[in-house]
Amino acid sequence: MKKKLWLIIALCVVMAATMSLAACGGGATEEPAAEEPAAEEPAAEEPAAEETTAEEPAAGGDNLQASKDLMLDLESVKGSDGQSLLIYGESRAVPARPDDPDSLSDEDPLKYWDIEYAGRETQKEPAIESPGDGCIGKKVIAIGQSEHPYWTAVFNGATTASTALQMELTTWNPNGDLNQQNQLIDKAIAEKPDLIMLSPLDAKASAQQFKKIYDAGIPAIAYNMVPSDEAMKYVLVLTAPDDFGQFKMLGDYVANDVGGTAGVCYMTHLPGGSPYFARYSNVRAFYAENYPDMKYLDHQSPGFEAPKAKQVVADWITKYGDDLNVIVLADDSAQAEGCAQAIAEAGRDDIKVIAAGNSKVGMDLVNSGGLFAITYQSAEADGAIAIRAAAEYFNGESLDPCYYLPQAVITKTNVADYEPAQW
Amino acid sequence: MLNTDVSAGGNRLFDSVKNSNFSTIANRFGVFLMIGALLIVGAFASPQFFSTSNFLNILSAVSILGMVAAGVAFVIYCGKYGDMSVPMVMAISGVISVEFMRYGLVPAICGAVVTGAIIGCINGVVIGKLKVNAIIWTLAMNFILEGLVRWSYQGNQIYPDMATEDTYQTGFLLPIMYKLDKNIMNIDLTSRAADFNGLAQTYFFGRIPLMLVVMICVMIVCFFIMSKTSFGNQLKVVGSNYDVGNTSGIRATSVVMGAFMISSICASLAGVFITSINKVGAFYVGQGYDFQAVTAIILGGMSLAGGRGNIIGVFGGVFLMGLISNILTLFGVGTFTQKMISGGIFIVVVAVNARSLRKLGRDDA
Repeated sequence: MKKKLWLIIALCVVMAATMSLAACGGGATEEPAAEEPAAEEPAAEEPAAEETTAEEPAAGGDNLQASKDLMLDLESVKGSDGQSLLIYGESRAVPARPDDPDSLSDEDPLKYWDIEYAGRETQKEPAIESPGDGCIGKKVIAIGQSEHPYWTAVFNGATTASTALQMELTTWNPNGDLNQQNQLIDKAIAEKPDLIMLSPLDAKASAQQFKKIYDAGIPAIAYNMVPSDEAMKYVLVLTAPDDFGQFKMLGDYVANDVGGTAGVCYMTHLPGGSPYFARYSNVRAFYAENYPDMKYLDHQSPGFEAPKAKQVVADWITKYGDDLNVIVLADDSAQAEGCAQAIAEAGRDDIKVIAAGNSKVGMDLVNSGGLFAITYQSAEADGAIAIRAAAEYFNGESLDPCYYLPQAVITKTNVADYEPAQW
Repeated sequence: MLNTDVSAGGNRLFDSVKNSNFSTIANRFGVFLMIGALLIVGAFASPQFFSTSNFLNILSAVSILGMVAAGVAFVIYCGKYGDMSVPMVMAISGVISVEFMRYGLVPAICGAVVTGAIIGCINGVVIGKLKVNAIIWTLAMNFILEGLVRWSYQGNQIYPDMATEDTYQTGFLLPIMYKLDKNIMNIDLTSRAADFNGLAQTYFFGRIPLMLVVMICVMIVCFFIMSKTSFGNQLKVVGSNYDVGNTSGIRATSVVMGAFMISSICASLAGVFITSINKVGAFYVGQGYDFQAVTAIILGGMSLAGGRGNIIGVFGGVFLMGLISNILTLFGVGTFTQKMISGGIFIVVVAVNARSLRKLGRDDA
């Protein structure tokens, strides 16, 4: 018995030593992080928090005027890739909603109206009135999704923006756990910040989450992920990537390159989430409407493991041979690596591969020719433009229902403009 | 009347022998019978199905799984159900190999393997000596390692070809390397990273992936350890009955520790390759391989109760998983249906194995 006790003690000492070593090695403060929009990786860790201490409000001066002055030079706030962080992307026109989108065929673009344009025509509850006294010194709590390098970059961007606009930002990470996210919302409400930014983990649960914040009298911004239409009633503004729009742009780019005629296979995001529809169903419907000779061949959802992605692509090449000309990927990292290797092994460099971007792995693959084109989706701007919208709210400016991130197609010719990668 | 009885008894005996033979065949070769059946089905899937490139694709796709499964098989063989720390052993070995990669491929691989061996040793000591439940302990170890990697890298991932001043502020050993080695910033990382990333894209004779060769080597080594060494025999005894093993002069703790070390070393090798494929070291690399490995092992006829099965069966299980996926994709079957069919095949194989084991008098099946 004694022997066992000594063993347990010895083991604890070894563990403690290992962790201390790691702590020394990391030299690290605990850092929040999380996941690519729409959940690529779940996680499990205590919520981490980080605070950015804002500069003091302009002492004795006009806070609103000082805040507005800060907004004059938004273009100068740059991300780690040298791109402007606080610039809104272009908005798209919203077509009329069909009576029953679900009854439409899979290849009808309007079938996905409720996902693509969620919140754009929502009849909102009366917005919580802006104090109109300027953004400087305002306290904002941002609740993210989970730990993934994409989310580390999102919070980095939000932090850069809040520093530039002299707001006080706290970031929390629920590690992919909806219950934890709900607890963090309660905690945030208890802290009575001036505004809460929330990236909902679950669209269905988001209505309850935003209503709770609204009922507490705290204004809320939905960012990164589109909440449900019901949730949008309680949201000041949505800031997010326009996944549908940028994939139409990407699909259009490759279709033009291949002369509008090709056999297309799709490797999807996790089935059911909005990226699944934006990066697969949306492109398929876009081709059916605009490029009828971009023929659908197959779609598979092997997840985000390079070996599995490689096998799927190798199987496609075996099955479709020369009929396979374009592959649309939901991810420019593991899926893209697996895909590039399968294509290289088969000697089929003629196949054009496009993917959602823009991670370092994806941009390296664009450089090496493994990917034909990817979307530009700035993770840092994903956090930063929500801060800009918050600042405009505090400054008493009117807000659109939705702001998108800037969009671009990254190819071999312009990839250098977007380097170094943010994550 | 007597004759009738004798005749009936003889028939029963004949049936029993016949059943026993079938059970023996099903138990030993069940997975290969299933592979044979699928090969026939595959012939209808595509004219290219029997091409060398298709089979190389299948084997290449399951190479990493094969390495992991070969190691986890030792844990299951010694009656410890599984090693849930495999995903994080793969991840942490991957990041360690990226850290050491700047000094060359050999230090990178050695660093990863030593890391795996240390984790396996800790798992083995705790589970073997303290008799902690293997699933619970390895799951806890997985969480601890995940926390360590995330904490150490502050939520970021590590790229083989990136080394700024900031890179050396986080990680396990990078800050120490930075302090000790004044020339570390002068190392030509581009070529080292190309070597490391090229591991997963190295081919023999222009088409046989290095990964596949390594997987086959791992399988062969594991086969000899499990079937031809006294350690393998001891594993079998400990797996069949831990207490009997302990009282018959076998150092059961050492045997269990050995099994977990082999499991972690194999996982760390797999971790190096999967990191090389992904070109990035991160905490999420390797997720899901624990359950996939157990599935392949069970498909291969190894009993979760321990002491039954062999590495050839494990190889069969791994190949079967790749084959199912290949054939279903060639038929154009969607992901959801693929999962259902794979689950159905898993149930059939396990049911046939369990039934045959019972018929052979192994009531722990």
